Parts: sequence; C-alpha cells; structure tokens
Amino acid sequence: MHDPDLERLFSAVIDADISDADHARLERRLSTDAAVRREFLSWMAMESALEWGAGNESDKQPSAPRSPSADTTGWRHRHAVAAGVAGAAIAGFIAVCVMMAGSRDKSPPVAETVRPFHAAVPVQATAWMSDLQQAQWHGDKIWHLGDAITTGPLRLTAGSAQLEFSSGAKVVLTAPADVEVLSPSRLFLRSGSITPFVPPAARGFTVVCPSGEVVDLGTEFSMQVDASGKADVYVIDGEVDVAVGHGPTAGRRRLTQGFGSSLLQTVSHEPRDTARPVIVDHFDGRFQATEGCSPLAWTTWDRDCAAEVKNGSLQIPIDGAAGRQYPIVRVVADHDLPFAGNRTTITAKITLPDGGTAAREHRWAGIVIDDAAHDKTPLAAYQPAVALGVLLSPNWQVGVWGRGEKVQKHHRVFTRDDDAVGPYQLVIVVDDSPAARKRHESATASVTVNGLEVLAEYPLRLGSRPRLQFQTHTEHRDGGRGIVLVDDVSVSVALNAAGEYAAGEYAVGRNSPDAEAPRPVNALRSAD
Amino acid sequence: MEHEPTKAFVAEITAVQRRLHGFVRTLVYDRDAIDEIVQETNVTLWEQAERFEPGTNFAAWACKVAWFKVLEHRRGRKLTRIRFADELVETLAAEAIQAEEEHATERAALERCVAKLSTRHRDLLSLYYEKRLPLPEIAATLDSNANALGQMLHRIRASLRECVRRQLSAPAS
Repeated sequence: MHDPDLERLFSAVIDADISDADHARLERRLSTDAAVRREFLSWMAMESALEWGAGNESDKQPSAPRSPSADTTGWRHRHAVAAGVAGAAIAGFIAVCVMMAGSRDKSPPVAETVRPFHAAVPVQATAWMSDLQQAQWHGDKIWHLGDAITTGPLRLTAGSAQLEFSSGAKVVLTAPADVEVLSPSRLFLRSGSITPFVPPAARGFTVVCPSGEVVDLGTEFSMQVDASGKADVYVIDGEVDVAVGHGPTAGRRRLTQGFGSSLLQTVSHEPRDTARPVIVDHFDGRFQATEGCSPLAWTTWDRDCAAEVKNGSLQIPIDGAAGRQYPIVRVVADHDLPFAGNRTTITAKITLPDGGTAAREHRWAGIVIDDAAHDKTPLAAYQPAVALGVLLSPNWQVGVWGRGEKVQKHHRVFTRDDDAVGPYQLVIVVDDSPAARKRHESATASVTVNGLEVLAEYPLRLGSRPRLQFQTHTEHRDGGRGIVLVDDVSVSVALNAAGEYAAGEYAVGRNSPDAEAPRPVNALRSAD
Repeated sequence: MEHEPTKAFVAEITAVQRRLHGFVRTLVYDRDAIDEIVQETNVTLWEQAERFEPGTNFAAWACKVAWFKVLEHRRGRKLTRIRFADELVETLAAEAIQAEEEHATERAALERCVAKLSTRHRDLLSLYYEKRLPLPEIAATLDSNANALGQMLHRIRASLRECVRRQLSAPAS
C-alpha cells in the first residue's frame, strides 16, 4: 500500500510532532485496520533499525551487504548495551564488555534471527507481578512490575497487587494476603483475600487453601481465608467447584453466581478419611488403635546406628559420616496393610534437626512406599521400585518421586528459616480403590504437607507388597548429622468413597503371587 | 551463594538488545523514554539471570518484561505527546512480537536500500541517527534549513520503506 497521508502521520509520530486532530485520526485508523497497524509497526521497526546503524558501513565497502544479525557493529549497539547494563551488577557489565570486545572480529552471533517468535508468553516464569498499587510486602521485600514469580511465599502487608499466571489467569491480592504460587494454574491461599479473574483459556484454575480448594470454571470469584483456616468463597460471576478437604475424594460442590460457601479447617493429626481400622502410634508407649490392631512394628534396615523410640518419638539419625556416599537410614513399618484395592491414608509428623545453614544442605527425611516384592533387599529411595517417595529437606524443598520416572516436584513450602525444621505434618493418600482406578486406570497418590497440597492424584503403580518406610539421607560427606523425629504416625484404610470400612472384609494384594487364605486387615504381625 | 551469570545468558542478553529496542520503539515514541525503558528491562533481566534456562525463548521473555516496563511508564506519565488507547497499545505489542521475523527480513533489505541512497542523504542519516544532532544544527553543516531537512528525512524514510517493500516482493536485488 502506498498512502502518503498515512506516511506523514507515521513520520509525525517518529518526530513526536503531531496535532491533536492527526493523533486522533491515526489512532482511529490503527485501531480499525490491521494492515495500517502492520505498516506502522514496520515503520517503527525501520526507525529502530536506523537508530541502530543500518547501513553504517563506510563507503569503502559499498558492495558487501552485512548480515542482519551483525548488530555488534552498529553504532547504536555500543551505546545501548553499555547503557543497558550500567544499572546491573558490575560482574555482568564486565562480562558483557568482554563479550562485545571478543565478538567484534568474529562472525556475528547467530542467535538473534534464528529462533522464531511466538506470542509473548513468559517461558521462564510461572507467574508475573502484573500490577502494584502502593503494595508493601512482608520483610520489606520489594516487587517490581514485570518481575517473574516462580516459587516461594508472597505476603502482602499493604496495598494491592495482581499476579498474572502463564496460564492466563489473573489474581488480585488485597492486603493482608499470604499466598504461594504452586503452578501456572494453582495458587495456595494461606490467609487473606484474593479475587481471581480466569479467562476461558485458563479454566480449571484452582485456589488451594488449608481447608479445601476452589476450582474455577470460567468465572470471577472472591475468596478469603482467615487466621483459623476457615475459607469463605463468593461467586461474583460464573461458577466454581468447591471441595472440602484435598485429594480425589474431597467432597465437591458447585457454586454459581451469587452463592457463597464456607470451608472449615479440618487439618488434624488424625487422617481425614477416618475409618476403621485406625492405627495411631505416638511412640510414647501408649499405643492407640481400634480393637484388634497391634502397633506398627518398626525395623531398621541399615546401619549400626539404629533408629529407636525415645522420648515419645521415633528417632532416626542422619549420619553423614565422612567417606560414605548417600548414607541412608531406613526404618520400615512391618505390617500387613492392604494398600491394594483400598484407599489408605498415612499421616506422620516429622521434625528435622537443626544445625545451622551449611549443615542443612542436602539432608533429607521422608516417607517412601516401595515394592517389597523382594523385600529382603534394602532398596535405595531412588530406584525404580519406589512407588512413591516424599522427601523433606530444610533446604526449602519437598521432593516427590514416583515409580518408573522421577516425578520431581520441588516446591518451596516453608517460609522462614525457623520454620525449616518443621514439624511437617504429612498426609499421604494412596488410593487404589475402584473409583481411583476408574479415573486413572491405576492407583493414585496425593500428598499434603502442612495443609498445602504438594501432589494431587498422581497416577501410581503400586507393587504387590507395598511397604511403608521412613528414611533419612544426606548428600553431605563431611558430616551432615542430626536426629529426625517422627511422631504421630497413623494409618487408616478406607474401602469406599464414603470412607466406610466394612468390618470383616479384606483385600489380598492384587498381584500377590501366593494368594494366602484371606485374613482380616487388622491382624498385624507383631514385632518379634 | 552469589550466582554468576553464565556465558549463555550474557550472549542472549547481548543479542536481544536490538530486538528489545525495536519492540519498545513500536509502543513508546519519546526517545529518552525508550532508552530508559530498555535500560530498566535490562536491569530486571540481569536480576533474574539465575532463572535463565538455555534453550528457552529468551527474546519472548525479554519482551514480556519490556512490556511491563512500558505499562509502568504509561501509568507514570499521563501527559506524553503521543498516547494511544490502552487496547490499541496492547494489540500493537502482541502484533509486534509476531511480526519480528518479518521485521528481521525487512532489516536485511534495509541495509541494501540505505546503501543505495545518495551521499547527501546518507550524510543526513549519519548526522541525525549516529551523531544524534538536532535538525537545526545539522542544517548548518549541510547548508540547509531545519524545515527542509525535516522534509528530506521524511522523504528518505518513505523511499527506504518503498525500497524495502520492493525488495521483499521481488528478492532479486
């Protein structure tokens, strides 16, 4: 197209010298005509190219057209890059200078024109800080517009802020608010008030709170969690699914516009889906269980420094003796609990040892469910026979491993250094019930840590004799040490979605090679 | 532990400068503001250097950061000379990203077109873009007046644009 009038308008923009009437006219043409916009963009791009020194060659080399990616020789480049990094770390600035100096005589960098451009999706970040209004944050943290948010807590103490997720959802936080980004489509609301806006593309965006979760179905809703963990949800427009509790069996209710709901906090040391039999071991000599159950018998698999029950908790040492690589101390619950065919909930409270920042690196403790098919052999946590592993580390990580491939979800759950040792309230639901198998064609696992859902409905391949073990581990060769405390371990088995256990019923392991005569579930082997 | 930016990151951020400038130029029309925004973008990119993963689309990320800086700038300065509606600016930004490949091709053609300009025209470009002299000062050097030079600049741009279009439709330059 050749439109002289339009070209004059473009030039006027470039020269920043345009009448109000012309401004209005240009704006109208740009808004309504994609071809005009395209031409405008090309003009501006051309202007940028000229500022960068297109055609800056001296007349001595008139016939050698330079490759477009040779922008290291444009006059603009020197100014711009130097200016660009002036505000950055000194080390970075020097590195760039070295980079530039080195590249002057070499072939131009290929990077610039090779990769195709797609829509501006932030590929580095799960979410972005997309608006700030007099926002103040806990601990004098400073956030800027456009900052990427990956993991970690966000505590807004004043003002308001908006997070934009790479899924397209936007969430407005109003102080005071304490949230944590879990994924492009999940946000944890610990306390405070938020308003999510979820476009159709991000449908399914979920807000998780201590007492349940809210799944957006194309809507605008507001949500508030108070100090006791009670959550109030109000649907402004559209509809949401509200679930009380976590995991696949949490009761779900649909709320439509104008309706609200309250979710009460139900986290406790008891399993959420309480059903007989319940076995709770407080390690204090007083064993609590329904009639007919025996305590879980604990056996130490490794090492001479055995775990022991002492002072009301199961104590498992971390032993990073020099020279040992990946020392693991394992304590196995000797039991006859039928994971197969049932929904089993395991809870435990784990406290990690303190000992200074340096010593905290790479020390782990956790729960592993593995396949004890060849159960005389101690298994390392990282081998494929592991069905599910949940490892905790004071180094800000919760890692979850699944059978076969390593499904790692390293999630920054804990917020302050003095929180790092815990205690961590772990709840693991291993669901091999018919309902779970219908949904996923396999068993599933879900994991909650201190009320925060870390893993939801992960498809799991249970072995024939899944075994429950606690373990400690360190990657420190020079003596990561300490004692991990495990307390309040409970295991319960629920047969159906309603959480009812029919006394007298049982399930033999599905793949059990030797199908013995069936026994009631609650007859545990006693420790010898 | 202090994180040192990797060589890969440094290479990426160096290579993206021109594109960043080009992107911001389509949305902001005050030259000083453009420089400021590009600089702020760079600062943010550097601050987040440790999150960089080689192989990902660095340019897309950089432009997203720049976009937020543009928004911030728009919010802060209500009285800029040229100020398009929010919705239009958002559309321009998205289309600018998608047009990048096309613009890269146009830049290549532009090199050849500039080479074809007359000496006098190229002198004007050099004084205006490289030396960044204001038109009245250039006028003295080139024995002309600012008005006439302004007209000449416009004609040069239009003819460069026409030349580029011809190059792209018949790439037998």
